[in-house]
Amino acid sequence: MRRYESVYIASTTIPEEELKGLTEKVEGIIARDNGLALKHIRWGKIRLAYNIQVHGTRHEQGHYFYLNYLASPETVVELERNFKIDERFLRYITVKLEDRPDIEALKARMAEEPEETRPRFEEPEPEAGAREEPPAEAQAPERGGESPDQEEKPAEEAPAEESGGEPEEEPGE
Amino acid sequence: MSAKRRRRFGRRRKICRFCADSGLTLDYKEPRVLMNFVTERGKIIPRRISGNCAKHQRRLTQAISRARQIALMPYTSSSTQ
Repeated sequence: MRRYESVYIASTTIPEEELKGLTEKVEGIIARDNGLALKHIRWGKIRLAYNIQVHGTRHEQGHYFYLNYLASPETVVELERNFKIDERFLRYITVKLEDRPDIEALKARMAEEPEETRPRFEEPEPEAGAREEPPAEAQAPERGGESPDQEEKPAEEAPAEESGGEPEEEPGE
Repeated sequence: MSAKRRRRFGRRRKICRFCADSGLTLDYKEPRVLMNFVTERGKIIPRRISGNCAKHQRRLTQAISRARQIALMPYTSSSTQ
């Protein structure tokens, strides 16, 4: 058993109910191999840093999910296999957190603070998920609009968040 | 820019921001922090400019690479196509 975390992006073109099915599917894969999902959080709909094209459909945003779990390496292979097969997943990343986690301690902590660590399916703290931008139409007209598709991103990221949108040229200070 | 001007005279010692500020997390899931260490074009700012120590620069590049993989950060700023 190792502890991993995965972040995966689900398509925004699928209905809300199906989204729930997707997360259950993911948890099912882990549970089937005697893994344990410690944390399953929905970050919400986030604008992608670049467009992702899947079978001709271009995605500009995605539903981000974060998953922290105990599993064997084989489970991870199986999970990633499913991420690849299923077109509703746009991207995923898996990072190993611990080689030999103290499972008993983790379980104890889970029992202690069930609210925090139990797998769940809801909007988490806003700071991670609250990157839903205001409608682009508000800004588009005055910016000339040579190619609205490209103008969109800088225009709406800047006002939407304090620091994340515009990269600073000089981090030296 | 002001830093550049200052450099002509006495060079100011650059410090690693991650060493100085333990509250500053270095994680691929937090693009807001990472965004401070890339150029407008999305390129990673070299250590000699940013002043990061070797250890943190290594972790930084790793984190930025991961963030790019899951579209939390751009590979390049000019939007696709």
